[in-house]
Amino acid sequence: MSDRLWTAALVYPAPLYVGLLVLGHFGWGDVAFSLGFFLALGFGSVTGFGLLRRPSWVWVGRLFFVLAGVAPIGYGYPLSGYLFDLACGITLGAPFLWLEYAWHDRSSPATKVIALEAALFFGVLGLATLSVVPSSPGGSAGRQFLNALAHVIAGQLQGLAAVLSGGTATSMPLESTLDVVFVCLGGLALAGVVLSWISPRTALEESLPWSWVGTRASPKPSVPISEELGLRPGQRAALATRTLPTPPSAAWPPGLGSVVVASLLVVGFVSLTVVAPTVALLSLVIGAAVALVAVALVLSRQLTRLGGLSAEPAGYDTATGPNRAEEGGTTRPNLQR
Amino acid sequence: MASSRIVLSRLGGSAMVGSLSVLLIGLVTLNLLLLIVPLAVLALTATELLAFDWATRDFGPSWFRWQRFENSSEVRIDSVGSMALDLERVRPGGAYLEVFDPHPDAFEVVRGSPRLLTWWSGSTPVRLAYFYRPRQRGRFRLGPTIIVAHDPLGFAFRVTKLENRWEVLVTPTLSVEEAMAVPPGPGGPAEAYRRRVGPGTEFRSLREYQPSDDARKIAWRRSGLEKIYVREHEEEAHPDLLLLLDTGWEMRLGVPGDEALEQGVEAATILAGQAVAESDRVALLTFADRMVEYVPPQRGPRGAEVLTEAFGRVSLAPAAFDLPAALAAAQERLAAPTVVILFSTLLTVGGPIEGAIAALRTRGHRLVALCPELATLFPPEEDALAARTMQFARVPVEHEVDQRVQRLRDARAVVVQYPAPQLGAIAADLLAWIATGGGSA
Repeated sequence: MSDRLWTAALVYPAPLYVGLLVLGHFGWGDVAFSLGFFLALGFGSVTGFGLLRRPSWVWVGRLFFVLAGVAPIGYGYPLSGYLFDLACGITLGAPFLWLEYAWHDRSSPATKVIALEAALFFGVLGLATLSVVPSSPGGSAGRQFLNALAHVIAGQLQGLAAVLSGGTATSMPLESTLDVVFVCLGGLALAGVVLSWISPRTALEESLPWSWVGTRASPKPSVPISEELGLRPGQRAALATRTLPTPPSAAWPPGLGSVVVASLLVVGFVSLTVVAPTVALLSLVIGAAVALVAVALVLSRQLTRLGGLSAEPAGYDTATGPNRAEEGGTTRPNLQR
Repeated sequence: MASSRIVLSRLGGSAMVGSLSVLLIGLVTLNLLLLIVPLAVLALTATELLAFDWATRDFGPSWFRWQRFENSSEVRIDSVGSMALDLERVRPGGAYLEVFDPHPDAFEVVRGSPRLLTWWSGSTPVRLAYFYRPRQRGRFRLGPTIIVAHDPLGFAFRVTKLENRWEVLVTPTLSVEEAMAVPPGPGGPAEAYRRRVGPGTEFRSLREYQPSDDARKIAWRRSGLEKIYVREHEEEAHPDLLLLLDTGWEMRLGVPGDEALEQGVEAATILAGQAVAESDRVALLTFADRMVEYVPPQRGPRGAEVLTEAFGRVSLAPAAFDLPAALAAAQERLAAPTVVILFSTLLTVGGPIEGAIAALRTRGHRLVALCPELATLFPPEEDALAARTMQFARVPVEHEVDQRVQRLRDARAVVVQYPAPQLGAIAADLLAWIATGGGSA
């Protein structure tokens, strides 16, 4: 099983759990609402697991879902109907439309994290709707879900506005939403995304500080050479005994220390949240700022200027003597062939 | 110590940006799970970067002992060179390192690799070795060896270099007639056939004095009271050749790698090969605004080797060619009657050239200038507009060259303008023409 499948298997359960929970809460019986959710889930799964790969089909499908989800809600609310319920179901299953970016090989870490966080954000929103008491009972499942969603978002915004204006928030629906199962599944999803980084790798595609060594790959020789080169045995022996490249996996387990430190910090933060929530948030903000400053300092610290490099033809000036041993090494006598 | 700062890779930068972005989402929601995600990612990224910085805080050349060995310092252009480098880590502990030995584009690596990426544990030595085939004549530098320490997660890297540049001289190949330059036995039958006693400059033998001999030829140290000896000299069947290469900046005209200078070197190599094969003496003078190098007249296999090395060292100089000064420098160094063959685009030829050529001729030397037709230095343009533009740019330059050619001819020098691709054939014909006394009128 590849890293990609591992990641997908770990990321998938969290939004699926919330989707099924919300669907069960607001009513399985509403066919259009359920159909919308499962359509989004199905399309996201088909594209996410690579069963549908043609970009044109993928993007046309996504466009269809966006239109099908946005248009009826935009024009139909507060009306009801099958299309409206279908759109509400698609909204519930929306995270599956981008969730694949959390495990794609080509996705950058930023894309992976944002895709995961957005899916988890939708999950928290969905869980928050479960605790909303409907002000006007009745209506379709889709309408009930959308009313609850609007209530949660409005409540969160009001709470934020109160906090930012220096007052006390009466309710913060998202802050108070805590489902242990979902948190565990979210933790698994996070582990899945991080797993794709733990694989040892190097920044080989990165350019070095000198533009002319940007491409370091050694192309295959255009003309095969024969054994009758007239090279001396010593030269052949040097080639025969050269060190061969080793794959990055030899470095396993790289970054393990960093993973352990990050895990300890997370556990500490969770513990602090339980004991003193206000302090936990403050410490998170301060810790993030300190980490950023430390990284910035490290990145800006120049040990010594490297100076220029040159592999160009030697110049007009013939005064400099070639092939001198300098600091750190030696050169054996020039061996001419 | 020479080591760069830590460079954040795209992966590391993206991880930082991602963690900060989702931190905003977490702070808006204040949800525990949504705060854990950015905390974990930020903690992982920052810790990894700081740990890598700590682990490589003194990364530099002092981490390594190195030794270049089995390195070719001179390679013929049709041959293969060798480069080998042993590296040993002074410090214990593992690191993921990339070793890269930069080489010029003119070198094609044909065996091995100048680049090695390996997990380097402890003091296990690492050996980098490769063979390369040069595509171009000249002096080239390999190195300095670059070593990149990679963060195992690919978030960052750090670079250092080892001051171990290595200079390689790529020499041209003398023509196929080079083989003839090794005659069977001392002197060889060809030389014996061509050389005879006469008014030459080279000592041949001693013989007993006869009344008709010139008294200035008496070898007084060898002579005694009973017998008097005179020195005999060889008559030169062919004049000496001096290959005068214009290495001024205007010789850069043409396609890179096949510019006027390279074509001149190629022609000079052919001429030298053929002349050496016929046991003639060949000298080389490279000149720009001042003398770059002078190789005295050479003969035989050893001479061919000396000339080959000198041809390898020829390079463009950032200065204009000074023909009168070059001829004066040549004249100072020539003893026997010599044909001076000039390879030049004649673009910057000026000054008192008539006087310089006249002075050369009064000493019994001749000047033959080989000048490429400018149009043939560039590949033909397929596009009509580009061809017309090229021609428009070329016309005034060609006009200037024509004027200089005329000046040289008026000064009784022989000027041969030739299409660049036919240089080899021209050079071969030229030698035969010189041997038959061409240009002496």
